[in-house]
Amino acid sequence: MLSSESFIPQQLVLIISVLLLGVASLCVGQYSLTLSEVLHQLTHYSDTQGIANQVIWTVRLPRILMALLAGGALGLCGATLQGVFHNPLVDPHIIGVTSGAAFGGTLAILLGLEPLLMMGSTFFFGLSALILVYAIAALQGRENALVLILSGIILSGFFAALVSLIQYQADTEEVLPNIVFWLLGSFATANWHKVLMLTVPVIISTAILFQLRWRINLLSLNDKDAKALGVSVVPLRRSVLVCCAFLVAAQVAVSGSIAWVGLVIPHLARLLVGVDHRRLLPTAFWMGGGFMIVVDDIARTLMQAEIPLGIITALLGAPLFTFLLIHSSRRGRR
Amino acid sequence: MATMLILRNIVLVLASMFIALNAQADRIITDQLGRQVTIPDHVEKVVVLQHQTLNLLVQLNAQNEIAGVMTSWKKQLGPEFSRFMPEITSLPTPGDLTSVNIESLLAIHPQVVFVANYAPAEMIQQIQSAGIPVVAVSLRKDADGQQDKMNPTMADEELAYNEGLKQGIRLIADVVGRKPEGEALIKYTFTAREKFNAPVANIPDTQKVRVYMANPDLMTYGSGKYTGLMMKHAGALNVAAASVKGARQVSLEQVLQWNPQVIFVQDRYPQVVTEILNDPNWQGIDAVKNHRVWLMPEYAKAWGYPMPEALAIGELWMAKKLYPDAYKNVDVAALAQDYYQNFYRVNWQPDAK
Repeated sequence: MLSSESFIPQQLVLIISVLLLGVASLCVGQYSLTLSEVLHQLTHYSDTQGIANQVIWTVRLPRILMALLAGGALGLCGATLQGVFHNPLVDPHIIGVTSGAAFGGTLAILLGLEPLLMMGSTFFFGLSALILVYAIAALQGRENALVLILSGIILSGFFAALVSLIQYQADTEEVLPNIVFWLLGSFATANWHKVLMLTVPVIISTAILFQLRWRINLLSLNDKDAKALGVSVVPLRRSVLVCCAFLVAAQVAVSGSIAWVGLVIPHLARLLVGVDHRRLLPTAFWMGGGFMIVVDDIARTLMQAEIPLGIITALLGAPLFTFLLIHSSRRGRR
Repeated sequence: MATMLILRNIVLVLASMFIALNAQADRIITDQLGRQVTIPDHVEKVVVLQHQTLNLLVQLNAQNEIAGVMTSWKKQLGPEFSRFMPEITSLPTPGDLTSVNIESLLAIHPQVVFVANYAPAEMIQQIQSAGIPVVAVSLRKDADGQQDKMNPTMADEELAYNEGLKQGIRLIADVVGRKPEGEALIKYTFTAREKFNAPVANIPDTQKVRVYMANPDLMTYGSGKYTGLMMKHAGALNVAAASVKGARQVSLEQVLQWNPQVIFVQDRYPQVVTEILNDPNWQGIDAVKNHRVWLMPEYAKAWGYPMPEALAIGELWMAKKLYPDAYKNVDVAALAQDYYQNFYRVNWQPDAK
């Protein structure tokens, strides 16, 4: 475990390296630009029609920022939810929001809605899923971590089935490819508008979660102990979940559902700074952002056409998670 | 001497102004989503992200204008498509039907990008705001507000597809400056179609051959697609049209119930024929019992979208298969050869693989 003196420098190193990674990512892409051109364009924004300027300012920069924010949001959500539910296997999918949002998005594609309406529909169904989770918990008359997880699993399954139903109903030549590509997640259509749509929920939710960081530590005890320490568990957990749902719904709305990041990143972060959420939350945010920037770099440069993100996050995430499991079980035995 | 130099300079300045003006000369066209698009007067470099348009461009002899193609052209048009356009294998592939890598696209510096009518609105917006005009092609002439729908509700399918194909060919021909070629293609296609549809045009519905179009994994085409029209023009009845809309998966039970007399399989899915013939579940079906499961030739493109070669000779091939007596004196292979010579500038090969 790190002492608090060494935490701040370490955190600074992490943030600076993620930001450097972002700047380095500005230099890679299918449109070849030299380092000096990139730096020149970056410092000289102009509205005139230079293609190099356009590539930097309207293609790469919003895309990298979106990757940073989306990855950060997922990492932060994963770390928070794993703490709140006392379970290392939890990821943002568990509260049903991802599936609900995915359903909202596929429905919008099937109906051929405008991009803005599509984002609205995604967001709406994502938050509806969380409300339904609480409705199911309320009907059971209990509201502990287990009940919430089970309700989340029920709704995930239900919405996943609805998504499959839409895929089955969809025209296999025209609509289905659209749905499949969207479901696997992509930053290909990033623009400043979307960056803004993601920034607002991320800033609000992150600020709230960060304010609650020490209370999340208490939530990660079992409910009885937390109550004994004077924490009002139920309202606190509700606000944390709403924040997470907000983050996930915003992320799915702008970039489609992206798996694995919310599961793997918190484990990596815990390996680095331990289980204290005061450190874990910011670390998970920056690591998630950095990871996503790398994944997106691969998605846009490996082939001339785009590769969906979901494929890369799974291909990188699964071995990484295996490695973490082996590593921690060996350490446990020692 | 000095006057000579000044004169030369004036000429140079005037010439460069002329060139600049010429390069900036723009025109406005309306694409098949009803969008107004401003494109350069002379288009010499296009990227094609829709296979139907790719096929049409080659038939309009505009293959040299193509600077980038969709990733999945081989899957959609078959690997043998490269014999019409050998240079296609080395062209950059910046995107596909539903996505594009905007940087790869910018690196090609195209003057126009062709996309499918169902390309996501975001993708069209993104290319357009990067300063490249986007032309969407549907090959359907839909009522207002239906243009970007995947399975449009069409008042009159026949009219929508006939007029849509003509409109689409004219649009593409106009963009790449091939208007005469476009008109020639339209004239050839619709004349041939009218002539060869006539013998089977008046068969009453009850006597029509009931036909099922087998795509892989029990996928088929219902109503609202060109496939149904192709069958209609060949005097056949699409068994799926009554209950299925668009390209969809159906259950085996449904196929058993329809009990089609003939099963057609598209040229791009030859494995489906073997699957059907070897699957015990299909043996009870009329078409299998009577050995009437047929692989269609390359030009008989029974796609959701109409292609001129399908209208001109594909429907004829199908009609002759179903009603050989009505076409005793028609040599389909010779007509195919004529079409291929005219529009693909190669010989028709029955087993070009």
